[in-house]
Amino acid sequence: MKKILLIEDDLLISSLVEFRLKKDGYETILVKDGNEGIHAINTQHLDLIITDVMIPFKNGIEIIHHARKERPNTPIIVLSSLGEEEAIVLEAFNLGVSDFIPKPFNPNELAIRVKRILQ
Amino acid sequence: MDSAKQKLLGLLFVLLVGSQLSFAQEKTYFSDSVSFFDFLTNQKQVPGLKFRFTLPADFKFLEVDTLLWGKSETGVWFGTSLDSMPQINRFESKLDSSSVARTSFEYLIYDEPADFDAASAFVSALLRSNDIFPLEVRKSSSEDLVVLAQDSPFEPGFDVGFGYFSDFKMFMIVLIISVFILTAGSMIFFMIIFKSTRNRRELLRIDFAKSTTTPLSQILFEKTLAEVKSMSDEELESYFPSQLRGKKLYNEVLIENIISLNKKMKGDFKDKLKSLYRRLELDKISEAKVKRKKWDSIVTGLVQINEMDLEEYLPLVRKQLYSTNFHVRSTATATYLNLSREVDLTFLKNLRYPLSNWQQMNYLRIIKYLYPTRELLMVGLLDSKNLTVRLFGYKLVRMVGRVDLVENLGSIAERASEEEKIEILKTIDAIGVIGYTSLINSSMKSPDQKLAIQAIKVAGSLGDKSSESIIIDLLNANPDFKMKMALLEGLKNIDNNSFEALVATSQDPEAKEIYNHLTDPLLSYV
Repeated sequence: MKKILLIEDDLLISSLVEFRLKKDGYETILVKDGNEGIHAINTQHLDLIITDVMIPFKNGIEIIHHARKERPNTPIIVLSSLGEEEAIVLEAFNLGVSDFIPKPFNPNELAIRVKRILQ
Repeated sequence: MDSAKQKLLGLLFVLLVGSQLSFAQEKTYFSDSVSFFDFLTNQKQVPGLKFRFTLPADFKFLEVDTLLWGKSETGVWFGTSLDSMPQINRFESKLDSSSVARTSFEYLIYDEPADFDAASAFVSALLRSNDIFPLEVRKSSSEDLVVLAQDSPFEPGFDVGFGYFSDFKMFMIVLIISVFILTAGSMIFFMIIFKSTRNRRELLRIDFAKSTTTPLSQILFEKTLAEVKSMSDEELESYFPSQLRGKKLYNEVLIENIISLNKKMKGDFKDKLKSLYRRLELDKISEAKVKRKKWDSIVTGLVQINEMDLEEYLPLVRKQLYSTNFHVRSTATATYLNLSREVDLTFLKNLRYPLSNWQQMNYLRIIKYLYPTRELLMVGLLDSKNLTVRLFGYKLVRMVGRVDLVENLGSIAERASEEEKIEILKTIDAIGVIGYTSLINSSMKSPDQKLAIQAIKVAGSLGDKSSESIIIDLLNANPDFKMKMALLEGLKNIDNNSFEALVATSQDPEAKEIYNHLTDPLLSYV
């Protein structure tokens, strides 16, 4: 079973995404801040990381930096609000994220992108 | 040596007293000889003060007691000097009646004879300097105690409990302390109650949030929009138990979660959430909030109606468009604009309250988003009696580019204020309509510099030869630097040759500086 780490401080969104991903047969790890995310990256075997940009303690860019250093082959999907700065999004892409999904988003669309990346 | 010093001191003291010197700070403790004797009797001894009896030189003793009496150089008989008044009394009791009749009493201060005034002044001085302290009079007689007791009549013991009330100061202090303690205690008590209630409420809120997440996920991912719309009561009951739905906090959490998801999701999920909102009759709660009197509750209800697109409540929203509360009015207008099938702004015509810049910006943002797909009704907006509404109207015409309304602007400008003329000129400039030269030219000559500068800017793009000659006239009137800059820039835009020629012949150094600035490709837009 593929294991997906979801770093999202909005518990409602993370629960909804988790529900959707579980329906597709994935195992999910939910964390609500950057520190927990770093810890999970260091200690878990992960097939995919989905992270928000604005999260407590460490932002999404720092998470991506760390993930690229520790797990260079793990694909990353970034969830972000449209209002967030273009520079952040560009930096995320420069760091080699696999996909970028702007909020508001369709969870079914996210599920399709996850499926495509993990295939 | 010591006794000689003591005698000298006593002598000095007697001399001082004898010379009748008085000192302001000195006071005599004894009003008469009786009180002085009483004091000495009670005190027993006073350091440095002694007493003796004297008898005249011609006195014949029946039995001369050489131990008790001596004779001075002057022949006067004197008794043994004694240092306490009780001893004097005892000595006196031993004298026979013939002696008592002729004896005189004499004070000795440091063994030097002194009279009553000197002795009382000496004792007073000792008292003042705290060298001696008056001893308390002790009444040892049991009869005296009985007499004293009669002065304080018997009172029953239970009256003692109310003794505090008879002392006003004590009563006030006790009252203030009691009120303080009671108030502090009550505050602590209510704080504890309030905090525990709030904590319990927060815990409950978290529990409710968790309990609503799974049912919402199931409905959103497992049901189609049609299925959500046609959900039976039993089905709803299985997801959201009626026992919980009867609770106010649960409904609040459910509303918050549905609105939050609606904001963060797109596609058919939004429609499902809106249908579910109605199906759960949460719209009734929003409606009830709008009908309340508290402004914050009304705003919350309006926001919920807006977020969930509850068009059926438009009449209710319309009632709040003229609310006296700024927040209610603003939110109601935003909701009304979002939910209306057409962008109908006619209601603004009769608005009594001024539109703030924030409100204007907010409404323009909404209209800009909605205008391409909905009809814009702004009849009468430019005829409003409210200046801010008219200003908003000019900005709106400029933003949406309504050329058909520009004709109205021309007639309005004739009677418009300076502030309005600025907005009208900006609108004419933005749309680029020609034929308003008279308005531009008259505005350039306005004493209001802001209006004049705006008109000069517009003249740069829409002006003609008549505008050019006005600009030259104004430049010849030697305006200030700001005005001069606007005039030269306007002239440059109307006719560059005229601009070049004017600067070339000008003797004004500022005109040269402005010329350099305007012709510099890097500075021309600064």
